[in-house]
Amino acid sequence: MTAILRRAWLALGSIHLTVALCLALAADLGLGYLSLQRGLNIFVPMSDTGIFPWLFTYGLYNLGVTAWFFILIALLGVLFVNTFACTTERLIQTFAANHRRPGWLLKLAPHVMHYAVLVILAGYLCSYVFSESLPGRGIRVGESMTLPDGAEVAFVGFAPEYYRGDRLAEFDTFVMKPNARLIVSHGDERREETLNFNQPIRVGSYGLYMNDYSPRRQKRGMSAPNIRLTIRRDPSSAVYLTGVLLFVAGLGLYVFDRAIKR
Amino acid sequence: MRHPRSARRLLAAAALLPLLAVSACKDEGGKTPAADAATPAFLNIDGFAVARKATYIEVRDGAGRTLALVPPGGKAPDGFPPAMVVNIPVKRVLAFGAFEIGLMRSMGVIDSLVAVTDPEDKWVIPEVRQGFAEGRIAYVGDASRLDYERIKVQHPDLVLTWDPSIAPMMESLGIPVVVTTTPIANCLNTRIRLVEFLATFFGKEAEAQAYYRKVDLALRKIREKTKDQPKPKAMWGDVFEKRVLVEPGNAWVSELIGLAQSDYQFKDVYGRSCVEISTERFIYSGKDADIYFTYRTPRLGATSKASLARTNPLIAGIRPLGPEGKTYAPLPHYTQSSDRLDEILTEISAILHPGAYPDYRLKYFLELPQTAPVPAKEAQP
Repeated sequence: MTAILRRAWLALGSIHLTVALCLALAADLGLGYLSLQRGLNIFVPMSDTGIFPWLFTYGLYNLGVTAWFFILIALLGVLFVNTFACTTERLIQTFAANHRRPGWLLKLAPHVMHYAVLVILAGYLCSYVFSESLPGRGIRVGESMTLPDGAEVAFVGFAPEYYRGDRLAEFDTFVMKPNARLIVSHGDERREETLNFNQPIRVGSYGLYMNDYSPRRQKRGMSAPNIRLTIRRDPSSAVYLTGVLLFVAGLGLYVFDRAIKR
Repeated sequence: MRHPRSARRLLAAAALLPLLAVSACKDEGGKTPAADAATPAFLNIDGFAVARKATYIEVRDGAGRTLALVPPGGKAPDGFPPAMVVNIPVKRVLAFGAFEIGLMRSMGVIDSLVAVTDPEDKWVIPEVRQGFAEGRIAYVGDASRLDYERIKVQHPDLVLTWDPSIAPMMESLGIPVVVTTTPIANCLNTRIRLVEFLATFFGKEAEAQAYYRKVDLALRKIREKTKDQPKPKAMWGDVFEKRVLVEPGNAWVSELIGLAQSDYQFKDVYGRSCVEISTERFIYSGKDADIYFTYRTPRLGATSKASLARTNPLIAGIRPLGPEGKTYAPLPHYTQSSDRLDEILTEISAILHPGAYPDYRLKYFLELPQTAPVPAKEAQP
C-alpha cells in the first residue's frame, strides 16, 4: 500500500506531467483567446457573481465559448497538485542533503517561489469564491452613499482634465481624466480621495472602482454630473498579496545564492 | 524510445486538443436544454442576463447593473435599493430608443409606452402617433436635455435607455432604469434576442419567442438564398463634420453581411456601434467597395450620390458614389421598424444580392440616384 502511495506521489510530482500540463495549458489558453474575442461580455459578470455561481449560470449556458475555462480550471487544479508534490519532494531531498551545510536556506529558494505561486493561485481562487461585489451603483454630485460596513462616501465633484492637444478635433473638450473627488467618512476618520479608472480607493475592507462617469465632455447635457461605481470587498486579497511577498522573498534568496557562488 | 512514459503523457495531452477545438467551434448561443422553454431558469444574451429566483427575477442590464423584478405576489429581495426593484409586468414605460419601442410593438405592449425622447413629428409608428394624439404619450425632451419635471408627470414605472448617465437622476426620482445597450456593438445574436430580455419586464416571453423564431427563420432563408451568390463588398457608415463613424466588424450589420455571403469592409474594426475611424481608412476601404449604406436619411441630405459627395468632398472618390457602385440611405421608418426585423434583414440581403431576389421592392432603404431629380418647377424652361 505504501509503495502504491509512493508511486502515486511521484507520478503526481513528475516533471513529465508538468510538461504535458504546460502544453495543454498553452493550447487551452490559445483557444481561450479566440473564445474571448467571440464572447468577452460573458466573462465580465464573473467578478460580480463569484466563480461558482458564474460557472453554473453563464458558464453552462454559453458552453461553446466557456468550455476552455472549465478545462483551464481543471488543468490549473492538476498543476497545483503537481507543483505541490514536485516541490515538496525536492524540498525534502534538498533539506536532507544540505541542512548541515552553511547557507542551506538559500538552496530552498526555488521551492519558496513554487510555494508562493501556489499561494497566489489559491488566493485568486478564494477571491473569486469569497468576494462580495455591488456593481453599477450610481451617485450624483452632492449625494452620498453608505457602504455595508457603515462607511459614508460623498461625491463632491469633478476636477476634470480635458484634452489639450489640437491634432484630434473630435477630442476637443473631451474629459481625459475625471478626478472624481470623494469625501470618505469611516468611523472617526474623514478624508478626501480622488477616484479614477485604474485608481480605485479603499474604504475599510471595501474597494471602490470607477465604472463610468458623466459628462464625458465639457458642458454636455443637463444631467447632474455623476459616477458609477463597483463596490467590492475581497477578504482574500491578503492571501495573494502574501503569495507575491513570498515569491519576492524566494527570488531574493535565489539571487543572493547566485551572487555568493560567483 | 527513451521515455515511453513521458511520450504517453504527451499523447494524452495532445488528445485533449480535439476536445478543446470542438468546444471552441460550438456556436456562441449554445444553450442548456432548459433554454428552449419560454421562461428558462437562466438566460444570457451578450451582456444581458435573466436569472429566475424563487420569489423574484434578477436581471443584469447592458451596463452591468443588477435589478430585481418582482412579479405579483412576489417579495422584493433584500440588498436592492428601491430604485433597483421593478414591479412586473411593467405598465408605464419611458423608452429612449426606437428599436426598443419596435420590440414593444412586436410583443403587443406598446400601449405601455408613456414617454419618448423624439418629438411627435419624428414618429411613424401608428400607435405612437395615436398615443400623442390622445395625450397618453409625451415628448420629454431630447436625450441630452431631458425635462425631468415632465417625466415626473408621466410617472413611468421603468426607463429603457441607451444612456447609463441618466440612471442616478432617475433613481433619485424613484424610477428604475434599464440600460438596453452594451459598451460594445450588439452582435446579430443579441440584436434578434434582446426581445427575450425585454419580455421579462412585460411577462411576454411567449411573444418574444415567436418574434425570435420569425427572425431566425428569415436568417435561415437568407443563408439559403445567398449561398451561391458572388460576394459583393459592402461598407456602412458616414462622414460627419469632424468625425467618421462606421459600424464595426463585431456589429450585427457586419455579421449579417457575412452571413449573406458578402464582404464587410470594416470587419477588422472592433468597438461600439457608430465607432470612429480615420478619414483615410474610410476612403481606402471605399476604393473597391461595391455597396455603401449611409447613416443619413433623405431628410438629412442623402438624396443622391452627388449630394453626398458635395457634403463630403473628401469621400467623393469612393467607388459606391460613382456610377459603378451603389449607395443606399435608410428611410425614416427604418429605425422604427424593429418589429419587422426579419423584413429589414431580408431587404439588406436583397440589396447585397439583387440576383437572388429578382422581384424585390425596397421598403426600408432608398437606392440613391447619381444626381437628385430636378424639381418640376426648375425643370420647366
